[in-house]
Amino acid sequence: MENFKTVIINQIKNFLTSIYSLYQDEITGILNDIENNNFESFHVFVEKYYHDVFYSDDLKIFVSDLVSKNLIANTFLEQVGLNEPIFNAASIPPIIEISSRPIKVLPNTINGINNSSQLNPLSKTLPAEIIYLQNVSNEVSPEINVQETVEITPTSSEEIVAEVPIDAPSNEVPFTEAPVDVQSEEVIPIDSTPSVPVYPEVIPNEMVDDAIAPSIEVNQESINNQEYVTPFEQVPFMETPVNVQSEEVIPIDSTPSVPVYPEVTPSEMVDATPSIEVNQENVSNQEYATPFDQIPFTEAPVNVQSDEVIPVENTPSAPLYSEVTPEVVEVTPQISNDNYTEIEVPETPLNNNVNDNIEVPFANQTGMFVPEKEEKVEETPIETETPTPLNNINETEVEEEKKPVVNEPVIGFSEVQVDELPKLETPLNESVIENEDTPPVMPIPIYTSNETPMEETNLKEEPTTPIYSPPTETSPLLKSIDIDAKPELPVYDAEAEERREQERREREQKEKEEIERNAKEEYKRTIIESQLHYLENASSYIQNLEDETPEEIYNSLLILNDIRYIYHCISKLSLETLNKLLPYIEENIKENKKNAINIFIDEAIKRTLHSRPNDELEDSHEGYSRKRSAA
Amino acid sequence: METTLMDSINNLNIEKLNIKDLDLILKILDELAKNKEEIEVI
Repeated sequence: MENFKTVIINQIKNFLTSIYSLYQDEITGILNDIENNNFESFHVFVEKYYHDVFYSDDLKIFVSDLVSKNLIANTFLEQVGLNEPIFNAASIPPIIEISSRPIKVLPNTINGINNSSQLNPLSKTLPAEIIYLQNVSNEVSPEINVQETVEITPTSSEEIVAEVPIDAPSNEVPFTEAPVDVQSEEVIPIDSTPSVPVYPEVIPNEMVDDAIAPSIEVNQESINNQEYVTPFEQVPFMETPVNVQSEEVIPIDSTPSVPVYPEVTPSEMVDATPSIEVNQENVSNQEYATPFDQIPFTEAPVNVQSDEVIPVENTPSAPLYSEVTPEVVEVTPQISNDNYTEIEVPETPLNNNVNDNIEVPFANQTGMFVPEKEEKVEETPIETETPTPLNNINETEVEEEKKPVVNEPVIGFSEVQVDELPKLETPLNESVIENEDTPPVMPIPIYTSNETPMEETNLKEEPTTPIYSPPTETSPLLKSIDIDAKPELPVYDAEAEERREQERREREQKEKEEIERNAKEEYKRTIIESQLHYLENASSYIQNLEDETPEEIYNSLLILNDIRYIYHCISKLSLETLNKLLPYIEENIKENKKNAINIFIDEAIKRTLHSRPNDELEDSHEGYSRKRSAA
Repeated sequence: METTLMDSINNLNIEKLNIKDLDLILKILDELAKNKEEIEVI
C-alpha cells in the first residue's frame, strides 16, 4: 500500500512538474508540502482548477471495489463527492444505469439551466444530455399534470439522497451538485412534499400515450425513513453538471417499475429519424426502456447500410461472375472456329489446285516449263510455298494478292504486264468460288498478302521494287520510265537525304558556335561592365577620402588590389590631396614598406601632378570611361 | 484488508488516471490509513 501511495505521489509530482509553467508559485508550494507528506494544498489546488474534471472509469471501479469490500465508508464518499453513483455504477446492471441518466436531470434542471444560464464556463464539455435538455426544455410543456404518484423503493439510504429533487418544486430547483455539499449528519425529512410528480412534468404529451403514462409512485414511508436528504436551497448553484447527472441517476434505477423511456424521448428525437418508426407499444412494454434505445436510431442506418451492402455485393457479384466466365469461354471457341473455317476453306480447293500444280514448280525449278511461265506465273509461288508449313495462309493470300495489285499502282509488276494480271485473277477467283461456295472474304491477310506474294513469287524484279518501293508518287514515274530507273530512285533519295542531313548538321553546328560566341561575348561584356562599375565606385570612394589622413587614403588605395585602378583613382584626386599623400609615400619608401606598390604609387602621384596643369589626362580618362560605359 | 486492497489496486490502471483521480486516491489512502489506525486502536 505504501508503494502504491508512492506511485500515486510520483504521478502527482510528474503531473505538477508538467504544468509547472502555468502555476509556478502554487506548484512550488504544493511540491514542498508533498515532500513534507502534506497533501492539503494539493487537494485545494485540484479542487480549484480541476473541479470539472471527470473521474475516470478505472477510479470508479476502484472506489466501488473498495466500498464493496467495506474498506471505505459510504460517508467518506459523500464527503468527497462520490456517493452512490460510483458505488452503484459497478453494482447496478448496465442497462438500468444507462436508462436512468437523462431522466434524473429532466425535471429539475431544465428550468434551472434555462432561467439562470449560469452554466459553468469552465465545463467546456457539457454532457450531451444537458445540451439535449437545453434544446428540449422549451418544448416541454409545463402544463402537463401527471397525477401519477412516484413510487420509489430505494434499496439503501444513500440512493434516496439522489431523490431530493422530488421535494423541491421543479421550477425552483437549480441544477446542482447536491450530494457534494451535503453533510451526512444533516437529516432532512421529505415530508413537505407528499406527492410531487416530478418526472411526469417533463414528459410531453406527444411523447407518452395515456396508456403508457408512467405510474411513478413515491413511497413516502421509505422516503421519510431516509436520513440523508439534502435541501436544494442549501446546495450551491450550478456546480459541475456532470456530477449531478451521475448522482441523480440512481433514484430512478431504484424504481424499475417506472417506465422511464417514454419520458426521456422527445418527439423530436423520433421525428429526427423518420425512417425509423417507434413502436409505442414496444416502448411502453419495456420496463427499462432506456434512452440508449435511441442509439439504434443512429446505429440503425449503419446496420441498414450493412444489410444493404451485403445483398448488393451478393446479387451483382454472383451473376456478373457467372456471366463473364461463360462469355470468355464462348468467345474463344468462336474465334478459333472462325479462323479455322477461314483458313481451312481455301485450303481444300487450293490444295487441289496446288496438288494439280505441284508438278509445275518442280518443273520450273528443273527448267522444264520455261516457255509457260506467263500463264503460270502466279502458280509458281503457290508451288514454292507448298513445302512450307504456311501453305494455308499463303494460298489464301494468293487469292487476295490480286485485289491489292489492281488497286495499288505497284511498281514491281511492271515486268509482268498489267493487262495480264486481271486475266490471271479472274480464273483463279472463279475457280475458288465455284469449288468452295464461300465468299473469299479475308480481311486480315490483306497486308501480309502484299508482302508475301511480292517476295515469294520470285518474280525477277519484283522483290527489289517492293522493298524500296517509295510512296505512290514514284509509281507513275516508274510506269512511264523503264524498269531500270526504279532502283535508282531510292539511291538518289538517300544521297539527297544525306546532303540534307549534312546541311542540317552544319547549320546546327553554326548555330551552336554562334551561341557559344555570343555567350563568350556576353561574359566579356559583363566582366568589362563590372570592372567599369568597380572603377567608378573605387574612384568615387577614394575621392570621398580626400579629407582623411594620408595613411587612410593610402590604405584605401591598397584595397583596390590593381595598379590600374590605383592609378586611375590617384589621377582623380585633387592637388592638395596628392601633395599631402606624396610625402607619406616617400616616407614609406624610405622605410622599405611594400616598396613595389609604394614606388608605383609614388610614380603615379608624380605623374599625375606633372600632367595635371594641361588637364588632358583627366579629359582622356573621362572620354575613355564614357566610351566604355556607352559600349 | 491489505490483500483486498491490493487486489483493488492491482485492478486500477494508474496510467489512465487524471489529476483529480490522483487527488481522490490520496484522500482514500488517508481514509484507509485512518480506518486502519482506528481498527488498531479498537
